[in-house]
Amino acid sequence: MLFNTFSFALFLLITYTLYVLVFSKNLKVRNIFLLCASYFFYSCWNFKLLFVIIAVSAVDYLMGQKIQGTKSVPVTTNSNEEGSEPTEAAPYVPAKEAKIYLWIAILVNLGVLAYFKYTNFFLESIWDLLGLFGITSSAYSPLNIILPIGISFYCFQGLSYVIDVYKDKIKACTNPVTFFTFIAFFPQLVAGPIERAGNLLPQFDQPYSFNYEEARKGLFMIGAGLVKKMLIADRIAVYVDGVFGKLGDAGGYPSFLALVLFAFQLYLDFSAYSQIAVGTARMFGFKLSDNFKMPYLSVSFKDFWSRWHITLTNWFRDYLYFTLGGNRKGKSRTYINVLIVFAVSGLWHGASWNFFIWGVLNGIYLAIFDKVFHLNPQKFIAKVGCCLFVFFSWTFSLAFFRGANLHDALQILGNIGFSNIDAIYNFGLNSMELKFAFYLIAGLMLIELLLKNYGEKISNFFFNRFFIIRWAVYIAIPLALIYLGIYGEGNDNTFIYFQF
Amino acid sequence: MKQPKYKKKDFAAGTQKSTRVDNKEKEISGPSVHKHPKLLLAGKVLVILAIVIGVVNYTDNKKYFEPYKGFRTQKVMPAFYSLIEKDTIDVCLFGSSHIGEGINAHVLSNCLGCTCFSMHQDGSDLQDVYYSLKDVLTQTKIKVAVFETFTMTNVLEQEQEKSKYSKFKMLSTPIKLEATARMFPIDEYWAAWSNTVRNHSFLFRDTARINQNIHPVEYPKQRFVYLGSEGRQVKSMSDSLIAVYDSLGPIVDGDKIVHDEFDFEYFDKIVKLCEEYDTKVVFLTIPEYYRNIKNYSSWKNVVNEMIGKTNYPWLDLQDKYDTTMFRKELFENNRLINQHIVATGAPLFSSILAAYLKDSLQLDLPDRTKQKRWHDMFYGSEGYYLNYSPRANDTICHTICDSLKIGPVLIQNAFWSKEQNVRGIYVKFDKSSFTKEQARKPIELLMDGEYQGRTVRASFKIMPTDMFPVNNYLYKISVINDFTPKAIIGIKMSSSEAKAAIKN
Repeated sequence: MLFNTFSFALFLLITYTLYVLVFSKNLKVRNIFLLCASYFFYSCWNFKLLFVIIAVSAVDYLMGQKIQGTKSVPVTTNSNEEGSEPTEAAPYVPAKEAKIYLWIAILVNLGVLAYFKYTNFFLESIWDLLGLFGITSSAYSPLNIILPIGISFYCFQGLSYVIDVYKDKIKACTNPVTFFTFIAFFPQLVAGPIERAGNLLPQFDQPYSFNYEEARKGLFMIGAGLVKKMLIADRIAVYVDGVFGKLGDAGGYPSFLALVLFAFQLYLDFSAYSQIAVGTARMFGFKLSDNFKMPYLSVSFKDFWSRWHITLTNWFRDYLYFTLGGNRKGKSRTYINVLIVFAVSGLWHGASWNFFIWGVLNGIYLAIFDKVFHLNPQKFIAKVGCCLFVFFSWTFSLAFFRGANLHDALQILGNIGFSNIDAIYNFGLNSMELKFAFYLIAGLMLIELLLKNYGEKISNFFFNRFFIIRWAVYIAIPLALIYLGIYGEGNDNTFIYFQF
Repeated sequence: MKQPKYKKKDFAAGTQKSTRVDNKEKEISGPSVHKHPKLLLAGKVLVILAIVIGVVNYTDNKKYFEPYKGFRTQKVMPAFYSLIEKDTIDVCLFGSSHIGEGINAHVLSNCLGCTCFSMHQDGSDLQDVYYSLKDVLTQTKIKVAVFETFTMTNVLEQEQEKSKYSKFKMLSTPIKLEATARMFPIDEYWAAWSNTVRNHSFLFRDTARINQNIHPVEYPKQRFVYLGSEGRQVKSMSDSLIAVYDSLGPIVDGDKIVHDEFDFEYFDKIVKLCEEYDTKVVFLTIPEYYRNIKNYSSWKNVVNEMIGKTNYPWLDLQDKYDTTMFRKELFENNRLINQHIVATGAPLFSSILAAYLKDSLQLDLPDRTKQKRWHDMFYGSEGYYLNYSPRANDTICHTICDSLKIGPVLIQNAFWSKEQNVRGIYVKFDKSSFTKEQARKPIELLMDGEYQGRTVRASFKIMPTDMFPVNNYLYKISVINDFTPKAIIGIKMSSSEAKAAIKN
């Protein structure tokens, strides 16, 4: 059930109506309802794989309880409750048993992830390695393992909970329904944002009362996300897929254009998903974290990674980079840590060497340009130059992200140039549609720029004044989706990050 | 307790301004309070939905996004009813666009000497054909019904999907309501109900179609009676398309072709209905370019599961593919599963069908060539001059000779014309004059005529046409410039066995 389908619209309508009118009055009943709705949402893809998420949730819940049990302070209800915050006290030192429980949780989460996501990659890599030594056989064939949707996201979310309990940042959740709903909450289940327990868990303990403004803004966010996805990202995807499908015929200019467009497709596709997720959660009275903050206006790589897929970047920073020592162990160790984090982040995205290279490449960008050259422009013209530099470096790395294999990635990079300019309309988008996509991208970037500087004012004016413009926008959004959107027969409308 | 809007002291010097600013800020940023927020939200959503559905419904009703705009109901059916008011239809063709494009009903009528009509519809299946046949037979008596076989199978899944939508469109609203969930997955409900949703991509990818739908084409008044057949496809296969066949091979795989769910049921109904009305049945397969299809024998077997149950004749031009005659120029310039015949190719297949009906099957068709009314109706139409002589007062075609015997060769009729559509010199040889093999070779024609005011004798190499008029072999040369033919004085065959060069 994708966010950009009729079935999701129907699901949302029914779920929200029941939620507001029937189930929100009692906290326990509400959470049970949300859990059922979330499991129904997930089982629409694959009913059997629902058991994986239940099993992972159960292990994380139990380990959280066990770790909490090792602490001297008795278990209270949930975190952030008044009086449950640790007061001025000596630094917390976890017990030995707690470490064992933590490792069990880590092994289970990463084990499940490794089995479903990396088994074939691991076997193939070994096989390729053996091939280098002349050991080959036709006996090897990939195992038939179905990758559960969203596994990378919910495993990381569960893991962050156990680690936070272990580090005594939060108290373990005592209510299994609340915890299972926290892991499976349908707006952010399949592609994030990866929420921290400290932010999301307490929200399940707060009673819901219908808020017109929140519902209206949530709906508007869903609409805006759908516009990004269906009007722009999916339209660009037609062109990008066309070029990547015929790399041999593409030539210089179409290849360059496809790579630049893919940078926008990836951003718009994923930020649209995040926006719809945040908007949906907002309607239900939950506040999720922002995942993007206009990343293509970044002036340095550090700046970029503080705006791109923020919840994942923060996760890696808090749980891997800091664990490795961060920048406290000298310069060279800092660079190594950065490279390790980005290499792992690459593999988190996909089980292939392409993603590994993509991750390492971005690690190198960060290490060299930010840590060595201290990219930090002050003047406007320098900022524009840096902004373009960061964007094109990132775009270059995306050849490895988008290419089906290393050969494809290297081929499109080798193709890049300004030849074959006449062939730009031969890859699925005609002149009118390609221009339309450009206008939309330009318009969107302008809006983002305005929102960056005057976001609050624009939002207030839009939602509280300008009745006619507001209503025109309300009506224009669904009409634009229907008439100008890319959907229906022959179109692949899945979100890119669903594969991770 | 109700608060006054402004306290008195607010209006004291210096405070008035700040209060206004406060109020303005409150107006901008403060959440508005509603008595029934849930109802308000639901109401607004419903209003937006109603407007959106209204707009979509408007474009649906206006048919702006229709893939084609009721071609049969707008054009073919009115022509049929208009024709049967005064005339009789002898042969009726049923099928999809393949027969509409591949058989020219005027050429067929002129070759057969009776009246033929093409009751075709783009994308038809046997269900459509049955109801068309029922319409025709209940309105008029026809001697022969020719059924095209493309309608008898589902060629590819994507075609099945399209036909699913078109079938759904024909249902009444209550049946649609009941059938929606049964026929479509949930995400296709809107597409099933709305052409706008289904074909919205026309806005970028087929603007010509939208323009045509907004400003419908006024069908020009035909010079000749309209007999249902079309000639929309004009661009024949290019060399670059042939190169695509070299690299990609055929697109249709006969092994993948299957019957539709209702095919057998409607096939039986069609045959039964024809028998009930004493109408002779003939099946016809219009060919696609031979490199477009692989494993045709499998496709043929699927069709034969139906036709084989009957004893009715079947002219299968795909099976009897003649690579020398069915050249690439006869087929439209695409590599699609439903490749059509182009307008210049249709006369050939029409004359082949005519020859099959008249010579091979020897069907007892009425001879209307003796009726002046019939000649008046068809005079000058496509294929007329190829079978009949121009009239003496014809301003377009001028007779050169009639029934001229030169040695063993009998020229039935020869005429010339400088008019755009029939420009050239035409010579019709009696079939007894030479063999079929000879009929495919050029002939040298010696003629007397006028050129720029002087009498000259000229030699032309005239070529056999693709046409197979039933009663003669037709030869033609297109370019005559300023030469006005007066008389044929000799002919010379290129074949040594059949040489007949006789001079006056």
